[in-house]
Amino acid sequence: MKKVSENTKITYSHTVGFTADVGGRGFHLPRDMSINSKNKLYVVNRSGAFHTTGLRISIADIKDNYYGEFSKFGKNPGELYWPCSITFDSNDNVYVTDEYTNLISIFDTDGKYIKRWGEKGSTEGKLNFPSGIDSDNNNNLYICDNLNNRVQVFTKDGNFIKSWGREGNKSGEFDKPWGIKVYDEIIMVADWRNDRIQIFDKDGNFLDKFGDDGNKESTLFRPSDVAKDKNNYYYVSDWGNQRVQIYNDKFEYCGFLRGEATLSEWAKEYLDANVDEKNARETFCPVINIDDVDAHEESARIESYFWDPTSVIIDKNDNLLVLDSNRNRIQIYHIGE
Amino acid sequence: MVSIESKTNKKEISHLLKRAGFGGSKKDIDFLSNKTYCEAVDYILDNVDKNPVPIDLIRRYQIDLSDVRSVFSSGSYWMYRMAHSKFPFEEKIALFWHRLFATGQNKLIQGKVMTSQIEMFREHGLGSFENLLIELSKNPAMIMWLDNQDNHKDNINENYGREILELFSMGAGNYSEEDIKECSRAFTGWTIENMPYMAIKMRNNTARPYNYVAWQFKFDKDDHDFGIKEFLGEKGDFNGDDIIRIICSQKATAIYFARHIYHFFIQDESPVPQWPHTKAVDDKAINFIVNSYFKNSYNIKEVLRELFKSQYFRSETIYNKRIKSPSELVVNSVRLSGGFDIPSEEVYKATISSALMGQPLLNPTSVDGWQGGEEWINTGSIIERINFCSNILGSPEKKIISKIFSRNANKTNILSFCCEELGYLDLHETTIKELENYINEDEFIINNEYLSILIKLIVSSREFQMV
Repeated sequence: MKKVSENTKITYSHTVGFTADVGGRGFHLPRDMSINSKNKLYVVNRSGAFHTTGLRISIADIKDNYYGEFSKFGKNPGELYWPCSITFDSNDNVYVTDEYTNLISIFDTDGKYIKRWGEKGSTEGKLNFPSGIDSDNNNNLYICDNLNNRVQVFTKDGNFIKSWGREGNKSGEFDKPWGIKVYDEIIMVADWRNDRIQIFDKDGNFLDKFGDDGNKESTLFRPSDVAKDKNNYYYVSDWGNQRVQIYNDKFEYCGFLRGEATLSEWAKEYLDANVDEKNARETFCPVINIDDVDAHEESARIESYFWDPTSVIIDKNDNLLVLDSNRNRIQIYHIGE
Repeated sequence: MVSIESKTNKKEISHLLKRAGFGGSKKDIDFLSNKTYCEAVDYILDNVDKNPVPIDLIRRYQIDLSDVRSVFSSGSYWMYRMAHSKFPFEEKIALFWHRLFATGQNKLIQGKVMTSQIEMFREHGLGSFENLLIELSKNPAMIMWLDNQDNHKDNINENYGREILELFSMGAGNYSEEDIKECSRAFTGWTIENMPYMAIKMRNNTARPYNYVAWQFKFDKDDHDFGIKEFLGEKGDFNGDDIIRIICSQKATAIYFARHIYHFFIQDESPVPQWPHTKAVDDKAINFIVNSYFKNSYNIKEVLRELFKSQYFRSETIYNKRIKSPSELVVNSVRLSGGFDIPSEEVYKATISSALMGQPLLNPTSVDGWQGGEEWINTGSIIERINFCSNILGSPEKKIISKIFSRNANKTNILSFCCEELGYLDLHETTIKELENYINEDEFIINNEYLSILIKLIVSSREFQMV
């Protein structure tokens, strides 16, 4: 389902993904994703507290190729406990935030562990539940230090550069920020519990904000991430409302995506190998008229809708990728005609 | 009417909060002691915590509690709510119905529908028993648990028809085999959306390709038997709702309901399967509940209001006579310790501990649920019970230690301070004597370390295991 204004050109393309809760081709409760310079897609699989074998970083692409995976659940070097977000430096080295251990783990492009840094605390340079991470052209890392309600900037080796923000709901203040994106000269932050997106320059000066809180059609509720296309349209994963909200270059509301997933190639192969499920699925009506329930419950009942969308990115070919966390898949839309 | 008025005291409020919730802290008890006892009952029954836990925080940080796929994740989500609700009576009543309408994730596979069932108990568990049974019969988890999706108009499956009579309303011996068949006919077509695919995903235990899909009730009129049925002496083209109306009007239903209420809120009864052959512990109390059931048009909250204000509930002879169920013990200890942080890994440990003590939430061992009483205690579970309480309450980081410390305790009053902070815990005189001997040893000094040991000793007592 989607509802967008006439001038907003976006079309559902396809879905990549599959539930792989013990590793292997697919994802398990993914939190974030990022694409490196070679168009490879890295997905952070958080997995669950009682089901930790699904925790790893998967490497795939949007053409249904699966290249492998690395890391696993744990607190030792090279392991991750509550991984949250991922980015790359100019050499395609991989940086992953870990909310529980307050560490940033670094791997090479093949997933070989390099090192990690970070320390829990509230003073400058220390972290408390680091969530979103992104890098700029100078290989500096911008991190949503979410329980400290600020953005911190580090060199790739963990040397503190600067920080901004404090707890609050005024401009430049945060309430548990989540996703962060660095675009040339601006930084966009999903100010999660303030239900808005804030925009800063690279020195941390507040520039603008958009989003009204609530569960109406044009509002945001607990946004987790944001992405910007080449025409300066903004796509917000409106996690609490289970949709993607779209805004134009003037931050005017242009519509929403609710999700229209179809079977991925990996899913089709699974069903081909499990004929009883495939036959039963032939009578399956994915979109049903549902009782009066909240958006999260609606998503739990309608398989094609987003269920906890946590991350949005736009690739070089103008594809919008929506990480559909509880469904272990990525729904892909094409922006433009 | 047997209800009595009396002056409120802290011991009585403590008893009320233990039975109608998960035990009160000193602060809770002091607050309610300023009301009359009947006002305190009304306060507990008539208030609901609309935001018991910050669900957004839980879903963000502990994502498996959002997906609620595994039994421990679903149970942990409920554990958060039980431990944090300001008005935990709705959680206690949900626990009561979960024990009576036992549904288990081991067959259903997905936890989401179990979480939704508990939500249904919160919403309807204090209204009319008739309405609750209708909601139960429409509940997707119950439908799949007792195979009603396989109950077709031309080929009935008697599983749900039998259990709604035997386990959920009347008890064995109060209906015929023919009644079971007619009851089952009335529930044909009560199924879930997309049943064939949902059923095979459950059977194959698979979250593939895109995780579980939460179930939704569907009345399939094409698969419903609209014919005439004869049920408990009445005749008509009964649907499930009509069957439940007839069930709820039976005295056997009122008695069965009353024995469960008594068993959970007053005193341990014999195990349920023995009920057709054993007398109730207190016939007068059962009659009181039965009369209240009919007088209040099966309204559960009003029955409990009358019961809690009656001598059967208020009598000191029943104080601390029930053995805490594992979930009561765990939640009581967590609440006294100051609750969980959010996010927290402690919530997972608490959920597992309850399971190790014999009560895995959302996963009862059978359709009979948990029998309770002495069943909770064996050589393994008692160790788990004591370890859990002493670890969580005796931890120097917990608020309870700092609260006692801040009261400038000395050797004379420290034991009573500890008991007060543990919800005005009533210790036996021999226990008091032993603890006083320990306090009066020269090496005992009032610091975090010894206070922690003292708390551990107190909560290891028999008295703390009772409710």
